[in-house]
Amino acid sequence: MYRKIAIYTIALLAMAAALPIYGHKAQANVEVGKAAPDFSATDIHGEAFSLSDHKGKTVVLEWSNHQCPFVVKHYSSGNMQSVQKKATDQGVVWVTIVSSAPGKQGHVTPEEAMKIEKEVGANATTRILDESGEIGKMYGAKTTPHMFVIDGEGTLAYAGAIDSDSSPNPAAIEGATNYVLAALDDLSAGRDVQNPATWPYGCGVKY
Amino acid sequence: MTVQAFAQETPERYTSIRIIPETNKVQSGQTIMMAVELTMADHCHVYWANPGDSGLPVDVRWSGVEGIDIKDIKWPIPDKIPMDFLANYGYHDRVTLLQPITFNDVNPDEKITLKASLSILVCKEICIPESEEIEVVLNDPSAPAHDNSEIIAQAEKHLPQDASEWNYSFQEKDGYLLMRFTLEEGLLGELANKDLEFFPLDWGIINHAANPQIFVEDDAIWVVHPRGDQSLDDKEKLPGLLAIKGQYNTEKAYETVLYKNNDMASNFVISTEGSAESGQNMAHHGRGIKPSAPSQTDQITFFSAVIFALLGGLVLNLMPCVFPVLSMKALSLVKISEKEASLARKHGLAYTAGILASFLVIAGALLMFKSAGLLVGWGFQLQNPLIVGALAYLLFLIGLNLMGYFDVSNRFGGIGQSLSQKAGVTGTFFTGVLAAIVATPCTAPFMAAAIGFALVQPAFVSLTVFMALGLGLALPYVFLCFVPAACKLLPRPGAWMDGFKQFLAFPMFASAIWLVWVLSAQKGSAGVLYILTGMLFIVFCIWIKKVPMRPILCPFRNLIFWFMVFMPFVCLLYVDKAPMESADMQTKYEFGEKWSKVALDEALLSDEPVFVEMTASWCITCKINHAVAINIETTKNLFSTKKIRYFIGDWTNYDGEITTYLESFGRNGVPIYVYYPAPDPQSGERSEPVLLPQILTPSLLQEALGSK
Repeated sequence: MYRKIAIYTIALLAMAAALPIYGHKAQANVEVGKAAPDFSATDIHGEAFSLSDHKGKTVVLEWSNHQCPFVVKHYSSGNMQSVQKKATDQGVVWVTIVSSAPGKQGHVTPEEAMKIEKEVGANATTRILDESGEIGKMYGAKTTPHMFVIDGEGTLAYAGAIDSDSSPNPAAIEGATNYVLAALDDLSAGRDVQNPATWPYGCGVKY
Repeated sequence: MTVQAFAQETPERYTSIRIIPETNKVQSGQTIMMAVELTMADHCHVYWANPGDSGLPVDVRWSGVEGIDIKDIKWPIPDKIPMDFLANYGYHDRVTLLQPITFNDVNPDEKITLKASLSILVCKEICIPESEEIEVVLNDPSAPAHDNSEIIAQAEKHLPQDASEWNYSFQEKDGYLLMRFTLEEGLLGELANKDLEFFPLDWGIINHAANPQIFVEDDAIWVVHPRGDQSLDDKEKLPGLLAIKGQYNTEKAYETVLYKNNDMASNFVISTEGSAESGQNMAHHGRGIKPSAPSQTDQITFFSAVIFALLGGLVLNLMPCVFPVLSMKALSLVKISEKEASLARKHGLAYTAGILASFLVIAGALLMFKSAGLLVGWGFQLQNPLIVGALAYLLFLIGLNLMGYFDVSNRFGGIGQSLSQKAGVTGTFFTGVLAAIVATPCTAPFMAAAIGFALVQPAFVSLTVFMALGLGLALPYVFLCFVPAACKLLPRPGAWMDGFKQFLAFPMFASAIWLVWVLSAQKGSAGVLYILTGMLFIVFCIWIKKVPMRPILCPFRNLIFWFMVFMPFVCLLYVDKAPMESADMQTKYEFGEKWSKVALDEALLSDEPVFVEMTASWCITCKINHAVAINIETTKNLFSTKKIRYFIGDWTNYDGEITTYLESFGRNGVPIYVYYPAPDPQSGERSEPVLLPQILTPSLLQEALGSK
């Protein structure tokens, strides 16, 4: 009996010696076509949100900062709200994430966030305040609005801009290609996303 | 276009714009340069053609006149503007963009009005979009001719140098963009000691916020940069700037195009930066530090590395963790050596095979992780609290066994007789495995230099060195097995063996204590609590098996045993979960500053000499050196009189930044001692950093720091 235990112990130790090495990939960012990292957070309404709870559904992550001119461009024109509406009507889970650190532009309390949500008439499923920047850095979110589309299998299908025109002028929205809607269309039609990675124009996330 | 008032509350403007034509008189077919001069408010910036992680490039659109050809903007050299974990490329204070315009068909006597619509994103911490329309009047008969070519010439001085003819190439590998700049000798010499960076013209090519690694080959400079978000699969060429970083901004830049070459770095190992060039000519990219061939202490040849490893392995047998295992194994030989010489030889081979197999597994795993781009270094095993804890358990168990608290069976420990049994040979193989495993806590602290060398070499060299180390470890036992005469020299077996065996438990317990102490530096008092509790469970498990009990209770006994036997592993998981001791809480140092790349780079900009020590709690050599040569009055006085900045880096836990630093000196383990002499008062340049030996003595240290 002891003999067996001893052998198992050695085997386990040998495995332990070989496997869990504390190393880090030089780059933490997610990659299109690979699994999107899971995260859990409490939304502004105090409810728990976990990406892994939404397996089987398409999830859109929208990085936001209500004071950034590029975010204002898409909200003051009503564009972001209508894209959110179109997406959530198809059963897409839309998560707006604010990674502004305390004291930085765009940082809000849950109460303020609820007020903003109401004022602009946002149609997102939920809104998460990520003031530590943990989720933002996990996804390598660089700008507001930086958009990520995750398919039902949890694979990152799109990362980049909301649309093809980087001008801060709301007039530019008309005539621009909305990459997020295009990606959602491609996914629901079972096609490969045509433009899976685009330049995420916008303001820097205020980590 | 009107000024859009978005988020800003004050309508105040942050940029003022002037457009200056090269001349105000143009003729048909003439190309003139338009200078678009932007002046920004304090600390504000506007963006380059590639704004980096956020922002927008300055946008200029021309209208109002038919028949003009507008060429691309010529962008002056931008600065890299870091913003927390993001980075931008742009301009502060004032910048002049140049845009050539060709007039195909104009009447020199007829006034024309060109309209420029500018949209600019100007940012400090936050960003404001501004736009403006500016009219440029040319060929106004009532205005006198005006020549502004001086202004244009001034602005052109800020443009990057054209280097489109150079032979540059790139390759993507393991999450990095490898760029090779082949240069003629003069330029190579000029750039080799500079802080270089590549500014790509396109988005998502590199991770802008990261710093590149640079090293110099015979005729080329390599710039290795973590990758960005865009796929490079379809990219055949990458336009951009090879920039030389100055103290505050970009000093100089070459405008160039890199072409894809997927064969250029086939034997390039990412995590060992520079290993492709056999550890030579690596440039550390601090200011004014020349690319230095590691000093002679590091120039171990392959052959001497193998010899060192063999000797090292031999010495390992004397280490407190290995010696008891070897002794017991050797004593078991005494009884059989005469009758069964051939069997003894078989055991010798089995033992060697066990050791070599284990070393092969460890070395193979290490190389695999390295080629996967993980920044690991030797000693990595002891950076993992799980392994430290498991080894502590193992040493504790062996100690208990030697003490006679329980018996492991003849087969396994081989402590005993039954060599004549066939199974004994397999048992001996596992004794070899055991010897290799218990040797790990000793190899890391004592063998760092040789193994560190091995790990920055090509795979077959690393493996050969590891094998030599294993062979050295196996040698004493093999010797006894193959030379029966030697066995005769061993003391005759007798009652004393029991006492000796028990005595051998003490070095085992001592090693276990040391591992628990290492764990305390990693996981604090909580970690120590869990690991000691785990040991309590181990003893309990043995006890419950031994304790006399009525037969009727035996099933119950087994139930408890099988439940309890998992508890040490559960404890180990708790150890792993315990919060990592923060760097500040780690072993306190009496004096010196905490090392970080930023702090060091900053110190290197000053006029003071700098001394860097890299250490770890589990590194015995480091501890001894520190106590003997550094933490003594004379050295402290030397530091204060010579105004030497002293930095300590702690590698007890994983630290990629330190790993990279070690590798910039061709090392892969601690300790390392580096002295950066004060810069030359005339040139302001620092001479090469001096790498001190891994065994320090006070006089050696004083000599190194005393000499200029």
